[in-house]
Amino acid sequence: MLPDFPRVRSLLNDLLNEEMEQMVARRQGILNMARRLVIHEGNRMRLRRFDGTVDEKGLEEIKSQITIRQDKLAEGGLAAVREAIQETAQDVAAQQSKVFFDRVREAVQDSGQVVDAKGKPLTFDLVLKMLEQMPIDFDEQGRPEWPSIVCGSRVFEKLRKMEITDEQERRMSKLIEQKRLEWRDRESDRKLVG
Amino acid sequence: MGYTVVHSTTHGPSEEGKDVIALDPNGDPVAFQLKRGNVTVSSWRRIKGQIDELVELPIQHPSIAQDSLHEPVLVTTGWIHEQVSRRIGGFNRSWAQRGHRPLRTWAGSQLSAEFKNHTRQFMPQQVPDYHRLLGFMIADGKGLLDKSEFAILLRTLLPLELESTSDRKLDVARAIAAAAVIVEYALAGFDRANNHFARVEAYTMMGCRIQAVATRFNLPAKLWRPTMNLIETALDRSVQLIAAEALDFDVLDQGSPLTEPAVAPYRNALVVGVLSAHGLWDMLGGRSEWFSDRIGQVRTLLGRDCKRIGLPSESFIPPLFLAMLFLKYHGEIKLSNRLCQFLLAHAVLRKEKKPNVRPLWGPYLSRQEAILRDLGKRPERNDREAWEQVTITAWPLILVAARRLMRQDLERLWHAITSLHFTEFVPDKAYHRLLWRFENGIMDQMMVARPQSWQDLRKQAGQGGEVPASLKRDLHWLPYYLLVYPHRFNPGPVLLLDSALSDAT
Repeated sequence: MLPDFPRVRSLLNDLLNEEMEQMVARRQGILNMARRLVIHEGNRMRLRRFDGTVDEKGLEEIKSQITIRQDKLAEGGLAAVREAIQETAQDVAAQQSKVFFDRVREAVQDSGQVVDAKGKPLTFDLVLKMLEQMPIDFDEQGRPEWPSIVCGSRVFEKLRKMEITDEQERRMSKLIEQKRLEWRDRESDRKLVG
Repeated sequence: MGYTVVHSTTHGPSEEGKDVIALDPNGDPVAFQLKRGNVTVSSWRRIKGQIDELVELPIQHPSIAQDSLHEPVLVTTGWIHEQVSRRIGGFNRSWAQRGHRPLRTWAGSQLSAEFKNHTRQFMPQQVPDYHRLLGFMIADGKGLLDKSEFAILLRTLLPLELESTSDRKLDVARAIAAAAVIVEYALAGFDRANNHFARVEAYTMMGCRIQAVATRFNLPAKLWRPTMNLIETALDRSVQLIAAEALDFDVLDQGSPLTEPAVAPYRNALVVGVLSAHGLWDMLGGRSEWFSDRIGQVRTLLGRDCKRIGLPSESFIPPLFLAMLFLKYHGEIKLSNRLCQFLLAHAVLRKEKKPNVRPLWGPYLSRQEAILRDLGKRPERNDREAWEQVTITAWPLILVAARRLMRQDLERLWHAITSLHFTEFVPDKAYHRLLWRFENGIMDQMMVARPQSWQDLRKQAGQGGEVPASLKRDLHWLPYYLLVYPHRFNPGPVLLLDSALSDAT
């Protein structure tokens, strides 16, 4: 056996794994903000919500592979490995996001919360219509806890530059008050009765 | 033996030829390379590279000084060929000239002698997971039992996956009897350290595994009951020793007094749990020389307003719940209700997603890791499991409180309760609940209704849930099952235990 450095290899493996996890996390976007539930045993998951609806799902496997050409490895060294890992991280994050958004899409379709713009451009009226469909909670200071909007960079620019008319602003204020009432109703249901 | 294991690579290939790194009774480092079977001339050639690493490369471990010289040991279950022994002698001279310590060998016959010295017993059958067994045997046995590791050892000794045939039943019965002996070897380290709590946990896991195997293969009681009786006797003996030691406790016997104030509350919680479990075991017909005046010991350890106990994670809820029942059924109703309020408040409010909430970690986290985190250790960077709003132990406590008509206490907590996801693992078959982990089944989460009817809640509290048939039959095992398997603290066994105690009194 030629001289080798098992300890160095082991530490490097740990480092590369950690780098990979960080790369995946950076590419996950909103998914990275989600609460993480670890399934320590079993192969299925069921959620029975307070309103009686039930959601049951199996687990989905996400896998990817690292491919590095031998000559590239010999020339590029660790940099070539890092480059390959980046591609893999991108792939894993993309698969995770796809599963996440597929599940969200299924859930909103089942609960009838889809707003179809029918090809029309994004307007503030459309945003209001989306918000109307959703329950909105309020914090201890009475401020609405707005949902996040996930979109591409073009839509984001459009949202940023969107001008709001006085009439739209009045409708927005009215919507907030209506959501506050709905939230109070929901909150008053969080009790033991009978 | 008396070695203190500082590192073991039971999960994967050895590092630099070292499977186990330990300190001998004098505190000197020793590195072990573990092999199965005979070491012949050809197998010696195959492993020579690893042996060179074992002897020549210094131990890289934070607990061991960089420049310290270690003793290399090759351990094998079989024998070492004479020619190989001669070669080792030659290499030892060469290694000595280069400043290394000589390679020592522990072969099967020598190991058997060691076993006999320590246990005065014999190996009843081939051990399928020899490395793991050896890891347990040479450990110093001072800490908590590594239940995940022990569960793997039990799985190899008593597999469930075999086809169930009538011929197989006798094989399984023999394996049960043999496993009891092998487990005794595995617990030798804990025995040397007088670590009776670890033994209690191990015996409970062993008992549950036997019950699972007996159910799976539909074994008649005569084939497994004698072994269970032995386990129950050993368990009883271990708890008697814990009780005696707790009465005569000396801080200085436990290690550094400087660290004592930090660890005492967690130890108190576990001792309270095991004493209470045994009290309840006794009430439910377990064979014991128990006496109920341990109630005074439990009261003292709890302290005024439960101030002397630590509650870092959900895995500490079952021991304190057992104390709550033990107190209740020995007439200490007020104290029992106070403990119930204490547990409810912690189980619910420490799961809230709010700033500055002291986390109550989940029951799947080992007790040792939970204590470390409670004392300030941060979780590993890649461990981002949420502890907020997800709970296994809160729902059974809520149902017990509903049984006790503690409506006002529940109303105070109800807003926080409505945000929790109550979780229970539901395996394909009830007896799978006796296993440490099981891969087939559903992780079931539910939320309470908004609003929640008190009558409905009371009805649910009266119903209970799924319990393995063997636990329904041997009710006295329930307290230990809950103590040792905190992630199985589900409505089924919790409410059954409560009802059984009520019937017993």
